Amino acid sequence: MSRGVFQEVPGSWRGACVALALVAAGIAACKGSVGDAPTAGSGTAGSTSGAGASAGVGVGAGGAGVAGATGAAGVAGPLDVGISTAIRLNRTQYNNTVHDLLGTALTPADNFPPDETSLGFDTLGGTLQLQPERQDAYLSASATLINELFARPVTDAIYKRIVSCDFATGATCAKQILSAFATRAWRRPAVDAELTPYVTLAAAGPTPKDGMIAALRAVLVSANFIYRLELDANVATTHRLGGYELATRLSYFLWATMPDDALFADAASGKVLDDAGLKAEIDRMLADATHARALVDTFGAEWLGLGKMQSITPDATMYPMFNDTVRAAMIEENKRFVLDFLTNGKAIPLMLSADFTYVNAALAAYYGLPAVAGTALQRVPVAGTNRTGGLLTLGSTLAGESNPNRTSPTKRGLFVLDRLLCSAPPPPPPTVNTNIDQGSGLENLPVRQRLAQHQKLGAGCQACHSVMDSIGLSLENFDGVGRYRTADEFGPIDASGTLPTAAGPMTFSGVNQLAAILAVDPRFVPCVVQKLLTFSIGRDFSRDTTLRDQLATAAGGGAANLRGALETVVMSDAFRSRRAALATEVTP
Amino acid sequence: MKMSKRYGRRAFLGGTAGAVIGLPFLESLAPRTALGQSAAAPKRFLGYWYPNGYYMLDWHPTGTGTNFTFGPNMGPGGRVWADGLGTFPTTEDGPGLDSIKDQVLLISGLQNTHQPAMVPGDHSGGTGSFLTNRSVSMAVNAKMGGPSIDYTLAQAIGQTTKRPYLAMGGEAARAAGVFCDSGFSCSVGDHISFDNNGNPLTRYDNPGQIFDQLFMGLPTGTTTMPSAADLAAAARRKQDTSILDLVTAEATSLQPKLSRQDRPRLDAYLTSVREVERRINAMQTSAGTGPMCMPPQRQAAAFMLANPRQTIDIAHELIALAFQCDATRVMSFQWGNSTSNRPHTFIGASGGHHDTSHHGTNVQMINKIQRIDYWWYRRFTALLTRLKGMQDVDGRSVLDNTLIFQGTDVSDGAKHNHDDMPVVLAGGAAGFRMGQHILTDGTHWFGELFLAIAKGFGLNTLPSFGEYGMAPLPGLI
Repeated sequence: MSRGVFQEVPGSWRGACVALALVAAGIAACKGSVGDAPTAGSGTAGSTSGAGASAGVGVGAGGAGVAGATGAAGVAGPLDVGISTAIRLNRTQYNNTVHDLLGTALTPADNFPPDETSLGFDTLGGTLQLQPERQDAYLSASATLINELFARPVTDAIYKRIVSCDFATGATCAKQILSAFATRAWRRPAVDAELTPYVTLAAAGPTPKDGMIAALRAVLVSANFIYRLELDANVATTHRLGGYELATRLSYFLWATMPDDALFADAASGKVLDDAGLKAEIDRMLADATHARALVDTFGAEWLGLGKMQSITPDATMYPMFNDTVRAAMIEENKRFVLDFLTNGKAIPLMLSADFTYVNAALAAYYGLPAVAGTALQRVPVAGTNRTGGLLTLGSTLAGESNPNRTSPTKRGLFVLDRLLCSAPPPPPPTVNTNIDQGSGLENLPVRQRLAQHQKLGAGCQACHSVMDSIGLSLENFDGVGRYRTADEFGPIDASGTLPTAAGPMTFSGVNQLAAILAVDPRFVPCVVQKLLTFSIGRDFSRDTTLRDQLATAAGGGAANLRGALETVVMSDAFRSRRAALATEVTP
Repeated sequence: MKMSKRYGRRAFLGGTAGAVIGLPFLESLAPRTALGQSAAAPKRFLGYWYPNGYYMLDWHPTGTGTNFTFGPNMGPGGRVWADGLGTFPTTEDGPGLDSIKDQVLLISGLQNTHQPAMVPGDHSGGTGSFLTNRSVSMAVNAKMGGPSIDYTLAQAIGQTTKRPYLAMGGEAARAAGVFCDSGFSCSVGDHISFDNNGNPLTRYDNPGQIFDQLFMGLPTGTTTMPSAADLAAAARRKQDTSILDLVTAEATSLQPKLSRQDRPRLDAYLTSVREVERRINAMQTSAGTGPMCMPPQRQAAAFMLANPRQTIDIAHELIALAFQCDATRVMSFQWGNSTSNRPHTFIGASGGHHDTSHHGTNVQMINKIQRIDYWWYRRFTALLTRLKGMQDVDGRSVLDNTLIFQGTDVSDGAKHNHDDMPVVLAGGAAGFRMGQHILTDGTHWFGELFLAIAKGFGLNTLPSFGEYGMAPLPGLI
């Protein structure tokens, strides 16, 4: 069991969390926390798999031998691909899809009800709901979108692409228009029997135009559009997806939208189904910088909790340098940084010790880096500067995981445990005073001493906080809005820490030594793989530890790069296959 | 009261107002309807949730029955604060529930279900169970085991209005990437209203969207001739209906092609399509707005976390006008997200609400949470007073025809207990004996109260509610 530098903790402080000592295997348990009290954990903390040595990963194995359930422990063999569920388009995907489908600049999903989320992601099939209010919004959006199309001149290229003939001439033209439109909208060929009611509806309008508008609207209200349906008539044995289904999964993963014409062509020919064809599509799609940016707007932003940056409110008197320009630049820096790792071939652990970042003039000045010109972000070397911690020294991480008026070592530590190691500790128990600020009597102490005082309050507090706070305190050279400092109002910064390890306590100091410890933590790459699986396939993978670990190993383990991990996920049986739930299996 | 749209209420009533000459215009309407024009007023329900529990030492009333005194957080205004946190602004002070005591019923000692035993997440657990009296699951795709009381009531009393129900939030829902308490899915951990399948009702947290849901397209009841807009709307409804008919048939035929795990998705699709169709039909036959209806201005700006006063005033006014206009008869309102960390700096309570609730017996932290609770009860009292001042079609007040169930997710925010839950009922719609404090013996559950409420709204055949509502809570009538 001794895998990590610091071990995961059970998801409970009330239950088994009574053994408080740090044992040889790391933290066996912890009983809550004190200090900054972040109010949320991802809940993905789970038991650590004992696997890692299993052979037979089966990645990219060309379709053979995908049937069967998880083998017994230690037995090589294909793993259960699990039960994935039809996924409703989320708001981002809806907007992107109607843009590609209709050439519209409208973003009707902005007014849809918020998407339901779990595990930090808004792509989970079983979590995303469809309520009457949302259905009503689909109905309204379909009218807005199709009426906009018909407001275009008949000579307009977008109009002509969809309205490809004179529908007033009758059913033959109507069917031609509807067949082509439904096939793209539903991301698979629409068959005659399905189209008949649409052609009938088109013919039933008060005028041919009204009828055609109604029929085109119906295509967008159809369950075939709203959901990404994988039709398999309840086949309970694991089987490969069809070409269109796989193309759709791939496109919504990488681009957050419907397949483009080239991907549709590969789906039609079946090319996307073989290893080489699928790999070629990954290459092509990631090379399209405009579309591939969706990966960092969706997956990257959700993985790293970038949404927080929109709502943080740093104290203006304490941090006068922080403003909305800096905020926007930090968000963009994060995205460009992650995007870089999709192409630069560097190992995932190097995301914590990168020799570059992205800044514009404002952010460079803010960070104290050599000046650059302009508002556009550009890649700059950071070797020799104080910002060599990669993800750990991005402004979005440091400012996003701080309190309005000071740093929060606890939040920063939780960020590492939760987002990078998939090992979030449980939240603090309710009776503990989590205040270490105004009114606590500790407000005049350095934050390190405040946290230490609080760890003394309860033995149970220490188990989690000794890890979280040690991580966070090593980032104390960066203030609550991410600027470098060597001293705070209490004196010189002490960025040292001690982390429990299997070999005993390990002492370190500063972000770079922290990065070195995290870089060899065997949970890091599997955690990234787990996040990729969860986001792309749309179900909870926190219990599929063997699958996750095998894929991480196949991707290269500690040498895996982000692009390789992504590709390994796409080439895996889990991504390319599905099976029906058994009657005995609880529907997610 | 059922009026043809062509002869709207306002026009009709206005035309016969001569019988009550001498009264101000609006007041003249009610006696007229009370004289026998089938002026039964609708009954309304509001489930109102407050985040993070209370400082319960300030909540507990002293005395029981009709002879009781409110706890200081909901009691009289003008509370003296000698806590070193600065002046409590007079503009934020005001009367408490004592000012409207005859319309208020306090219940203490009730317990509610929460999350599974032995796991953290009291806030999520207490939020999902607030109107359901059902345990909340830790599962990623969790849903509740059944409906919330507001949804159940809406099935009975909400079917003739523009909206059968409306779930509102006073704080923007958490974005993807931001987690809910202890890893609960926000679907159950940050909602209070659920349908019969236990899925969360859409929660609107934007004033403009709430306005649109409640008031946009609401027949005014004053039109004597269909306008061009009415005709266009009718054509649109016809087209919408034809589309919904098509996709319903299509989805039904899709079912056999799907796997077992996907069929609930299609079921949800079909259910929602049918409900939208039902609402379209209801709009066509809607009696229109109530005669007292004064629709508000549409507020396009989002609720602002940093300005609680503005947010709560807008939200309360939307609730009051929705009832007055008969746009819906069932609402739920989540004043903040579960574990809301809204700052209340303007009343001297800097720091987040949730952070502050874990005061750990620190005196100044307690003072802050006292201020937050006290301030909010001023606003809640203002809502009740507003509803009491609104005259309904039967001549009584809107509050007389409304029942508000108000509470929170945990009892004491610093303890996270789910017993001794603070409950405030207000209004006369359920026929309860108001103006009293009922101290229960600790063996009763929210579900029993919900069952009593359901019966108060005429749902006499409902056998039980939630996990523990096997018999109506005694002592209410």
